[in-house]
Amino acid sequence: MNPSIHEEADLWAATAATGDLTDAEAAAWNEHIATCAECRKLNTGQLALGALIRDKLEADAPDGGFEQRILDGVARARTGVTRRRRSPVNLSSILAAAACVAFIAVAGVGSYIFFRQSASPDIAATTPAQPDLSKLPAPVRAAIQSHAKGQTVTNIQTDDDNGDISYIVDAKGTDGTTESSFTVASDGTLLSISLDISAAPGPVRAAIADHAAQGIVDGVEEDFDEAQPTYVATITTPEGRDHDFTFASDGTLLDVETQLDELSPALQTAIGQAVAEQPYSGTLESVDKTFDDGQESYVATIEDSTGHNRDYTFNPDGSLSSIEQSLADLPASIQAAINAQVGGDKLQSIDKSFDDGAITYDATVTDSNGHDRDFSISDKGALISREVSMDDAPIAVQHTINQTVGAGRVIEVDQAFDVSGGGIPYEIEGWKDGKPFYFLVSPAGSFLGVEN
Amino acid sequence: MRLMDPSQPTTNPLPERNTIRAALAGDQAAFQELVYLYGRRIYAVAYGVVQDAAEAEDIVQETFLKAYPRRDSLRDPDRFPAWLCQTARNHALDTLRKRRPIPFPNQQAGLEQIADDAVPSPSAGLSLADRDHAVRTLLLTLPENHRIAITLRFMDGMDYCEIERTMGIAHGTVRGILARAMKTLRKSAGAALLAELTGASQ
Repeated sequence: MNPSIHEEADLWAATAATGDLTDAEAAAWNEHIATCAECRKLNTGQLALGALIRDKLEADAPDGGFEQRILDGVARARTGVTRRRRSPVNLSSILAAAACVAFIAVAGVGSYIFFRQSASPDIAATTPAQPDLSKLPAPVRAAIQSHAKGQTVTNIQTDDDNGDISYIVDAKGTDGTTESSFTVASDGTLLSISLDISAAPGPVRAAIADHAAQGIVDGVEEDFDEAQPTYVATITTPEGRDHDFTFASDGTLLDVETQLDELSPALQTAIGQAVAEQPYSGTLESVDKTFDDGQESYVATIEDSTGHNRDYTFNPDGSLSSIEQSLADLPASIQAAINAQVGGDKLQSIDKSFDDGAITYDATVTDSNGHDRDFSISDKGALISREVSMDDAPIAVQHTINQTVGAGRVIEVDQAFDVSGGGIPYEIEGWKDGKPFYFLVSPAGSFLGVEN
Repeated sequence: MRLMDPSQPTTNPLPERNTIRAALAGDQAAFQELVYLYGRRIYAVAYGVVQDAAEAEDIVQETFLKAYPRRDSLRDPDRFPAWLCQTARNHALDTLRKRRPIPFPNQQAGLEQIADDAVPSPSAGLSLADRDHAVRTLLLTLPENHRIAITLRFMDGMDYCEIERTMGIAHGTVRGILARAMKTLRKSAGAALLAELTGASQ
């Protein structure tokens, strides 16, 4: 028996099972297991397990016709509907923008960033006058026929947002002059639709007029991606620049699409570094200045060269506030904690946040009724808070919330937890007099004060 | 035991460098050749993530569809294999994310059930369906990069250098990854399943 081999027997057996022992190592291992029953048993089990896995993987390996099927499939797909990669939210600006790639040098970063304002033309098929709807999934086909009723569909493009496919449809009225656009998800859900500015709610019309100033409103779109509809106005400034402004239905400005050279040097450098850090190469897709919770921040959507989009959120001083994460990128303990909260709902997004020097993971899920809810996990995997509906809060808590909000409205109710997982106050975000405010209510319904 | 790869690092450029360079320059025939050169390893990467043959084949097709228009963004042919496989990995993760319910690690209960069902009659061995389920469940207990490495090694018969190039990981790390993966699999399998397997293999 070899004591040093015996001590690391599990690694020796594991390496033997993958066939990766050198000749000298194999000789030493075989000599050891000849005299050690415990390691011999370990080796037998590990080899049997290796054989089981090898057999299964070899059985699932591609057959001889694999490559030709791939080539045939690629050829078929490349003659299908056109594809473009851009958020449906920015549809209007895409339609208005010239198909070009503008290169913008970023001072002090030492690399180049480019905004892509149209799809790569390589994959685009010729745009048919009337696209063949029969190639589309049935729910998409039905949705298009419903929303383009009485119109002629002139173009359909697919948008791929990290695997979420949507269909952007352009249609013309029978008079040949009126045009409309709408976007449907792969399950047929309407995601957005263009509308005449006169059809937008009054506060939205007023806000658009206010922000358009000397510019020109190119188009307005109603989006249904969030729980409440939002309105995106594409406005061309007198300098000829397009900006998308997103408004809530009460006219509150939610975000503005910005150009990199309009940002402060600190933000330009920070965003440039985030792009430069992408594996292989990165592309800046868009920068949105947002006003969530009354605080200004900048969301840069960066695409790596493998086609994966990730949002980076920066504070106005250029410091990083959060990075969008994939579940698979996270430590196992965080994955487990998130999965425990997701349950049967659909995980929409995870942000790794760096506020106040602490790392938290903020996730959003959508339930079967299409309602979003958020929760936060600490870097130790503990649940910090989770969004609840008013109905889920105790009656006494609901009563205090309603009394406090008064004529305003409740935006979000969060149930917070202490380190032991016990319940502590409810944190409520309300909206009153055109601005957000925050307050705490105890589980028994006592008002605990307003938060800064 | 050294878990580092004892072989020497390779500094040779990829033998298919000229083909990749031609494909990146827009040569359609060269691009088709890449399907034959890399299709199976991309399939193994995708399979390593999604654990489903049909989905993995779809991902290979989608990867090449995505890769062609994006070829301009990659200038270095030597990085092409890792870039292609990262694209496939991302697409596979998207596929996995959209599949509900998502199969996550800690499938131990399922494995124990298989073993418990099988143990009373070891001579009968595991059925093919049980074996498929056991392997799928076992592999899902591994971290994703370990699962991909095992799949590339066992399904595609790749050597260390090829696996490192495909996964874009540092030289000398594959041996350790494979050993740790096999060790994890044995622990996840549990005594009952191993007893069943060794009984069946005798």
